[in-house]
Amino acid sequence: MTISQGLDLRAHDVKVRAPGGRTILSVDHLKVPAGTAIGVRGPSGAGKSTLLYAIAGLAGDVSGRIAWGDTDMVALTHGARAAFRRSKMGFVFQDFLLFEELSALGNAALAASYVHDSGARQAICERARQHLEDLGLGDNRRKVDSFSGGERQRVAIARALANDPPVLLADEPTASLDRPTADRLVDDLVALTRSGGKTLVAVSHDPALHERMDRVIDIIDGNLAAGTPVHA
Amino acid sequence: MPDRLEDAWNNLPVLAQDIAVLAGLVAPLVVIGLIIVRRLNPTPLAGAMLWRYRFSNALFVTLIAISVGIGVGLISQERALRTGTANAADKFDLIIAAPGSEMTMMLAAVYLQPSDVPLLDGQTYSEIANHENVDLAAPIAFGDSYRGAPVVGTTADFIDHLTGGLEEGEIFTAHTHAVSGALAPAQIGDTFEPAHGHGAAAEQGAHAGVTYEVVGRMPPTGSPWDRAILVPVEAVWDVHGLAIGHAPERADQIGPPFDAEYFPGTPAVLVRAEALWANYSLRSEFTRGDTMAFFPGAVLAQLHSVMGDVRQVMSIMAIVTQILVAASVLTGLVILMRLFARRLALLRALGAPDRYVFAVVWSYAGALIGAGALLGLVLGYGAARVISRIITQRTDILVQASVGWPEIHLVAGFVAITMLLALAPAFMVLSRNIITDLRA
Amino acid sequence: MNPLRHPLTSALLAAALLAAPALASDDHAHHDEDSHVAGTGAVELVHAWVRAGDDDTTLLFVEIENASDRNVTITGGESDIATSVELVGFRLKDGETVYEPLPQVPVRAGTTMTLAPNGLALRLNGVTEPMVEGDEHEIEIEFDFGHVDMHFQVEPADATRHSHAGHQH
Repeated sequence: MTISQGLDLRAHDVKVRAPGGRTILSVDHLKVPAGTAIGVRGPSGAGKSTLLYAIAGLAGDVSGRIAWGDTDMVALTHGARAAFRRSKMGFVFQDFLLFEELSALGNAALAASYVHDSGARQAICERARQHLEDLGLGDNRRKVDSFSGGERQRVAIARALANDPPVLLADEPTASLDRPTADRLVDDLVALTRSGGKTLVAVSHDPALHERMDRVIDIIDGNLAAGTPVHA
Repeated sequence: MPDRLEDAWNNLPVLAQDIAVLAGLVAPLVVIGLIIVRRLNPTPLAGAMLWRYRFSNALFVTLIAISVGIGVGLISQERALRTGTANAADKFDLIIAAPGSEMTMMLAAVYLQPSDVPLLDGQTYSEIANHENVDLAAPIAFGDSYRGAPVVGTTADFIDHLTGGLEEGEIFTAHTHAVSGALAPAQIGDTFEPAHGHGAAAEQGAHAGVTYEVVGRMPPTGSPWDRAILVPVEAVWDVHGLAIGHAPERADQIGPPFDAEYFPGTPAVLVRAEALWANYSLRSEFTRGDTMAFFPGAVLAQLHSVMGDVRQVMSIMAIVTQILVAASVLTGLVILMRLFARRLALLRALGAPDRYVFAVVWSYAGALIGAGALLGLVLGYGAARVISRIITQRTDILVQASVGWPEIHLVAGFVAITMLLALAPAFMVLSRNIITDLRA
Repeated sequence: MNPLRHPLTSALLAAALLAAPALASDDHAHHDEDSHVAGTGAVELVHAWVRAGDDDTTLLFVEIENASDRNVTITGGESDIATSVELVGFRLKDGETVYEPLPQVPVRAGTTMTLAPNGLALRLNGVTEPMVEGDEHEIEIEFDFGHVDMHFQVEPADATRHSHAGHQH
């Protein structure tokens, strides 16, 4: 199994505007070194998720520069951003966003159905199977609609890692889980990130998650708070 | 050049034309499908979408199936009726009768629907029978019945012409003999007493004392003649107390030649000429003041052309229905796309190519449309078969529904158009905002 | 009924007087009418018509009265507006109307043969111009004794007979 190195993120003068033209997020300067885990914290509606979408190349009206390694997401076309996400990024969402009708493996290896190269397709399936096993979901033939919340989120992690991306983006990954489950999930997420040398950006309200990060940044009223404290 | 193309097209065999039309309808879809789906695998997700909203999807498929089924059934049934009635009239090349309604006479002589009609006299019959171009001139004397089955007086030659030979038994050789149709209510060896007239108006006992014995049985012909019982025309005259077609010294003779002076008259004469042109010539010749000559096929063709007008109206209605259904399929797909919006947004967020998202949506639509169209073909054919069987039972005209090229073209056309329309919701999905849908 | 007396009758009365059989077998490749001025009667053609439409083929109907004392045979025709003209007969085949080519049809002495819808017709193949209701065109109808030139009239698309047929002239 190949292990890709993490990518670093450098963002300058980033402004994200709402459809009306109002600036909803501005980031003067942000640097995330390759292989680090960053927590994003802040009140609801402050712009945490917007930051995540912006660095994923999903936000619509963005100016400035958001560079993963040498690739500036802002300058890419719609199709090239999708291709970048496809090959370089894994995603974990608050409410899992799985296809209930597919098995755990079907979900984890979702990317195999839209990757052209048959070698890559096999690698995705192989990694998805391995991650599911590592996450204690070896019996992966069941449809996920019978899974618990914790199991579902682990399937989502397996999916996020199946294409061996250098970058992992998580949006409130523990918010839908009870405490013990959330703790176990954070363990898994951090362990897999670190062992793979990946860069992790996790938006969360969860102090337990923040504690496990290398660094936590705060977003207040659409701005990166100055003097962001390092982890506790 | 267009002319040469047109000529080349006209020179193709009909089957090749039909296949070419089908290919022309399906080819764009295959090309588009290959372009969209190439090296992608939308099946699992399209399948997941189908399964997740299976009841809505089933409703869609049913809606499409019913509308396609109506179109298919209509076309198939119309053709079955047309060929069935035509085949039943196939042996009736030319009918000569006293002037009146060709339609009434055709219904009476070919389909054995009883009517009171004037008779042709012996002179006229002789003129027909002795005409140099006539090979068969058979009197057809209807009017009596037995248990609802028409009892028709005619000649052995006519039976031979109609059936090409008996299934079993022998042809009639005496006034008391009868040959029964394949479905007639009398078996070989049965004896029966005919009633005068037909149906409720039949007078039982009017021919008291007259009995026939069934001596032969005809093979099925797929026409109302299957229900009939055929007797020598002399017997019919005899039963009605008329002259029996032959001079007294030949009173026992059965069949032609008849003596004009002793020929009491016949409602209709079936005429057959070996030479193709002679039928037209005879028709022209016997279309005159005292006789009416017509091709039952031509009367049928007129009837069919009336039916054809109805068919046109109905097929316009069928097409309008299908356009409406296609439009509602489109609307439904747009609505279903909202249900799927979050999952499709997820796919796009994960970095799935637009073409893949497009392929999933289009394959999903294709599965609904294809399943509906196929089910519709089966439904329409099934309905036409059931209706045809009922018609055959009621009329004895063998009506057989089949799946023909027009239906296949209709279904292929419907699939082609709706699949092209289904590209629209697929495009619409790609214009949706990913973040908005993800947060929904 | 004498169609000659009707001023609007477009159909030409072609008095093709018949040659004696001996003369009919002479070596003229293309008979013209003058060479057959003989015999005792005439073949009259009246009420020639087609239906309006712009199809590739159209059917021509006509009444042929053989007032002569010998049988004649109609074999086909020719027209400037069609690539070929052939004699065809109606048939209902598997419920579909078809017109099958016939090599020739005799018209017996003293009888009238009517070419009418759902019966006999002269089929014009490769019609070069649309048939417009009310228009007139020419056709040359061929018989065993020669040919007869006449006009035919374009009737409505749903006509079943010539608009003057059956009039008392």
